[in-house]
Amino acid sequence: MMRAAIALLNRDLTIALRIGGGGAVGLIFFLSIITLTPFAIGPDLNLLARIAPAIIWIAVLLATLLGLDRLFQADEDDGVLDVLHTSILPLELIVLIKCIAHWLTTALPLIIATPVFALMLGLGTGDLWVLSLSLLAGTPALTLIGAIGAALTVSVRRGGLLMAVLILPLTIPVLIFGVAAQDPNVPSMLPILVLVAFSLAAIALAPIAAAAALRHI
Amino acid sequence: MACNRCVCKIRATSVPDPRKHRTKTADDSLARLIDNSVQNRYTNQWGRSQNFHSAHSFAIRLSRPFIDSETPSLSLRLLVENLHLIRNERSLFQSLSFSLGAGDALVLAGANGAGKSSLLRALLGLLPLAHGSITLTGRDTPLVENAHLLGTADGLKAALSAGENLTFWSRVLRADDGSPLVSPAQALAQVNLAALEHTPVAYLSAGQRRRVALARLLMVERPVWLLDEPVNALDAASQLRFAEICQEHRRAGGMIIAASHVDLGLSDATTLTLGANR
Repeated sequence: MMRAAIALLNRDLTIALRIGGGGAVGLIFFLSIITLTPFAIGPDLNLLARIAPAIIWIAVLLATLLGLDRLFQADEDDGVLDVLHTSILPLELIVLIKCIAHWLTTALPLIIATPVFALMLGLGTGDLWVLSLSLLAGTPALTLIGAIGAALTVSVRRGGLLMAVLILPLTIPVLIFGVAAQDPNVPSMLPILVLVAFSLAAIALAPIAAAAALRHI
Repeated sequence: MACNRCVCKIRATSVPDPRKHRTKTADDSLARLIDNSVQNRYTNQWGRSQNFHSAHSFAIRLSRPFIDSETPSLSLRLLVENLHLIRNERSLFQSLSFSLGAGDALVLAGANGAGKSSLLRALLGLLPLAHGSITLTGRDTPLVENAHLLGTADGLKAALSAGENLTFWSRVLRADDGSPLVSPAQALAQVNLAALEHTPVAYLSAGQRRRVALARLLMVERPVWLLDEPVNALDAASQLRFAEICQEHRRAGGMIIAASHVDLGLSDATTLTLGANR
């Protein structure tokens, strides 16, 4: 089973790197939002620094959702999903592996790029660490919650928007605690630990929900 | 107008005529369903008095097995009983029963939308059954881990090469303790595509993709092959090769269920026509 799991992860990473779609486009999208914000808000550096964590979290959320609707749909379209059903891997594990591959190719580049982009919003260096850490703790939950939406909309043509509408409300807790990690009145480890809890719960539960949705296409 | 003469609730196109029910002979109705040209025996579960509607319900058994006698998987048997499938609130078929042993082949025929693909998907548990049971005896693992699916889509990633696609499937489909029957390169050679191992699938023609998909079945030992329009897009030579591969699989003790509108060249195959009652 380990061999099959690694083969699936390897395949998804290869395809993501070869097509180039998800990761690179997500990064450019992320950069666009960060760049647009000062134009919309104005050059008040104090204001920008105060709302920077919120902007970055929303940008990360949207960039993560960008390619997520194709998570299962691409495999459904070319018949791969049906054959994967007959593989030795349980469907829940297939969902989890695909989420890991998606996180590695989409969310991880964003987290790595965040310190650079956050400087553009005037965030201090001390806050950068906390921001990166909170993203690292919270983005797995975003990807896995998104996978439920992706599984539900797998048979819907152009279901990306529908998926976003379905799962954005579910991401609110992650967003609240993600931004709270920057709050000077809250010990910053506390929200990060809650984010870790969210991610662990999502890793345990979301594959079951997504697999149940995929079984009833 | 629903039929009120037997357990079936399938809609009849016209008002059922009682005389028609009685005068219709078993041979008339069942000849449409079972291709009697091969030496098949069928058994009728509902008796002669209700022959017209017993058509939905029959068992198929090949009278002579098509395999080498020393094959180990002789106890292999796929038993489908009283299958009732509802798709989109429409009853596709009900009380469908058949049984296949090692070396048997069943060809599903029927008009578009008769439920051929749905039956194949239902066998793998991809569609919920309204009623009925599917059992595979002779193996420790369930049918879904003993079946190869060749669906209408080829199940290949366009961004990967033919060899990479097959390597992936070989690793994902093979049981932990199983060893591959042949390598991806050998499987491609068997479908005469050895030269295209490193070509991305995106650059292959529809027929070539179909052959790569067929090569997937050769790498991992799984006795039940579920084929949906397997020879679509295949040229004449490839169709012959496909028939050879299928016969080899049956001689090795495998079984084949194929949905097709064209002759697949399977000798001694039983034909099951779905949707003849609509």
